[in-house]
Amino acid sequence: MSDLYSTLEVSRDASAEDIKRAYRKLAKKLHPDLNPGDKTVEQRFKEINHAYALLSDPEKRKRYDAGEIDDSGQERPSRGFYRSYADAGMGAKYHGFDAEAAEDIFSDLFGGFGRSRRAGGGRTPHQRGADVSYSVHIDFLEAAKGARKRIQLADGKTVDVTVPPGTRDRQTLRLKGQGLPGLGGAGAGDAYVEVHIEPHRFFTRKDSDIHLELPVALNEAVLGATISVPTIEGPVSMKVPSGANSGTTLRLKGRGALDQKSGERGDQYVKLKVVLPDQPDAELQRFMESWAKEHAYDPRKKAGLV
Amino acid sequence: MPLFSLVEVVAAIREEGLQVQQVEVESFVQQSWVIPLREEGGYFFDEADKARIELIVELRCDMAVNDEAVPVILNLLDQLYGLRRTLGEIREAVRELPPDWRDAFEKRLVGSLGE
Repeated sequence: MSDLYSTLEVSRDASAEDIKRAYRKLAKKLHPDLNPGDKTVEQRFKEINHAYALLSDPEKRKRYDAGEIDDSGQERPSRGFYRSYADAGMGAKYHGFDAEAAEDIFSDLFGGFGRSRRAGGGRTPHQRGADVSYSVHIDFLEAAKGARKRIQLADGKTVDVTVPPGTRDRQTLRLKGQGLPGLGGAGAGDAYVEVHIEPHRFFTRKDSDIHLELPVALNEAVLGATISVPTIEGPVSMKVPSGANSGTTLRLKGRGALDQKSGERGDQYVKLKVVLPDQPDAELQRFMESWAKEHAYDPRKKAGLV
Repeated sequence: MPLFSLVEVVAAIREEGLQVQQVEVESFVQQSWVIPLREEGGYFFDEADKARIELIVELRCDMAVNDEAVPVILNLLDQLYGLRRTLGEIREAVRELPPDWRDAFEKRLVGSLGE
């Protein structure tokens, strides 16, 4: 059984003013809300509260001094202190300041996780994992037609990435939940995969259109022909009109790559290039000589070069 | 989670032996020391709001803190509790690390905190 005077750290002949001053001094030191995490202060605070409640009442103090009442007295009902709510995650609306306080400390860690939170708006107790970035090189045709690629992540895990048809160079694919694990049970971040498309031997791509330079024989150009043309989906036949020239561009509608926005396929543009036989033979030379006598033409003049 | 009206929160605090007037609680709210839910023209206090009112009452009455100093103390306390929560999250994050990472982390902390 403790003595109420010693609880308040005052002598038995202390004045009412002394008792009040002593109580205030102790309350400032021992209030549980001013000492979060310290379990011992709560009991001490209850004791000084109780001692002060009794000793600050002149009538009760007189009876206590006379031994008429003991120091067990009437205790205040137990109550919840603010700290128990604050530490339990309640009252988060009051704790906006830490977002900024933590931001300067943590801004260079975890991608600056304080950034998304604003003061006054409360805070999210869980923190999503950080996003990670990778790059993957894929073949021209795989990008155009779509493919599944297996890539290895930083933690050694391999994942299958679906490269959708019509994927563009440097397009970023998102792998949801494949980033770093979250904190406190929050979800993992995402992995971002940047696609680098390797150039093709003869196809080039502009948006969803495929471009191809196609050699044709002299006779095919002059007389016209139906020839086989490679496309990303395999060869198709194409009609070359008679009189086609080097530089003539023919369009194969709908034979390009998929346009991911519109969902429609682009076109393939075939630019013709007239190619003479490797070794012009005597017959061709003789024919040309006689032909030129009647049909001489000056393409340089027509092009304005002379 | 029960919510208290203004009248109810004053009554509940008085029941716990603290002296408080309704106008005092209203002035706490007006100064944004306490931020209750505001609906249909009335205030609704949760348990944390109630405990915060009790803390303010004790600061002013038991500790003789004047009204100019109350917001300074609340502001610092709010930062303290916010930092405690951040520390708690970091502790949880550290617990989820692989054991050798955790060891390295603890060694580093013991080194700088001198425990």
